[in-house]
Amino acid sequence: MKHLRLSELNHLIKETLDANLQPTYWLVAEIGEMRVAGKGHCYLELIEKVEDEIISRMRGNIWAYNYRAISGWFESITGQPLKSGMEILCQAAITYHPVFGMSLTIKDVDPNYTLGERARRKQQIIQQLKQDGIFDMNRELTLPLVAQKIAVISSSTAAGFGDFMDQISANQYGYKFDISLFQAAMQGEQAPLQIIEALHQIADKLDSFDLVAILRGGGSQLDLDCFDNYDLVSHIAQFPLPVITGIGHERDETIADLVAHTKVKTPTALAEFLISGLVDFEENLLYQAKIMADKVTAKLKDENFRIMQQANILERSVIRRLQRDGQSIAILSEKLKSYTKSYLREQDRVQLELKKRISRNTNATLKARLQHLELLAQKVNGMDPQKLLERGYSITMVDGKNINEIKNLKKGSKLTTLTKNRTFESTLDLEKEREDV
Amino acid sequence: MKKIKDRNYQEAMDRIEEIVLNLESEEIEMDELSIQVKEAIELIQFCKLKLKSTSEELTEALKKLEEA
Repeated sequence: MKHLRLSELNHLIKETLDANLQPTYWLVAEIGEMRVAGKGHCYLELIEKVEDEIISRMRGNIWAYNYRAISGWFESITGQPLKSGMEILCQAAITYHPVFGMSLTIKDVDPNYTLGERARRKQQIIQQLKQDGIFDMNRELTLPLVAQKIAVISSSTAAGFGDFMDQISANQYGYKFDISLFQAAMQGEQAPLQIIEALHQIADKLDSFDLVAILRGGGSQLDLDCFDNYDLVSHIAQFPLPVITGIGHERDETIADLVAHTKVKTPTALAEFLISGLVDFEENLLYQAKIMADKVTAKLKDENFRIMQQANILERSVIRRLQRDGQSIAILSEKLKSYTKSYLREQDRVQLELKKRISRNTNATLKARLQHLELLAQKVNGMDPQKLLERGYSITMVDGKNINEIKNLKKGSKLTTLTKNRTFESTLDLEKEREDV
Repeated sequence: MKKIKDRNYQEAMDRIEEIVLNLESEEIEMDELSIQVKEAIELIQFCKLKLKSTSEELTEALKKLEEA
């Protein structure tokens, strides 16, 4: 049996690799561990996982002169440095060393792949939030009209928090804000948990606050992954107060920014946002006051006009009414006058007529009376006893009384008889009733 | 008839309009005429006074707004 020395085997492996492998490959892998050594060389371990189980692993390195260029470029594109847990697309050469074994020498990293990969992961989380029905929840809250009680989640040592406080306390309008700081780490693995804890503390005193501001120091592009953490962003989305993020980055939005009610780029901008909210409110107030003043003035003017108008109408109606009534009075009195005249005329006429009738009647009556009187006179004349005596009649009386009135004449009664011009005294012999009457 | 001082501005205006309408429509008796016209004139004076005092009050109030 032929024997091989170890060095011969290693040589054979190297020859086989060199003969069969291409000089470099574009390789997709996750960075397992990673450290940068003193000289600037980067040592890392590339892995591939299936459901958290590592199914492949290989050591690798990026030499210092490459690493400086690659990491700078990578960070400028993706906004974050190469780090453990990141999936990368890299150009690697397989190196086999008889002593150090097999490793990958990484010559280039394509930041666009990582960017795409990160975007895909973010998209997944966004999709999940939408499925859970919470993606829009915080954005649907109404920002309070005047937000002055602010719960700030930040790190008190962060430059951003200082900037925010400077800006807000030095505002030129003199608005007062009541700022309460809830401390939390703003980067690293602990950040999501601590921020969630801070949210819980704020939720316990919900009535004391108008809104929540999440602030992170600006300046250098640091690790933003914690603001894509599902637990954290779902807490932000469901928080009952509006959440405003000022995470301090220019490049791309984190999911925290997407679910927050409002996002601004920097803590300084967040302070300006709060101040401008009050400015808007005050300006609107003044504007409304002006509108009110204008309306009041216009209304007073209108009313004044209305009263004057009514007064005019009243005056005109009264005059018209009086004129009309005056006219009808004039007409009435005119009518009355002519009535009176014709009435008087009629009366005159009637009286005249009456007079005529009266005088007419009077004459006739008088004549009739006269005739009557004459008749009577004739009658009376005819009654004169002297006339009868002249015609041969005589009158016999007893004791000066009408003989016809005396009953029971006795024999021997003294009778006086008158004739035309003589008187006879006699004594009664016989008395008998006349038979012919 | 409601007393003038118990009326508010709108009621007063309504009454004035009512009286004017009465005058126009000849529904009003001559005896009533002077009573109603007097009433309307009083109401108009009342409205004018009210408007004047309201105007002064509001001008004063608005001045405060500008000073604030």
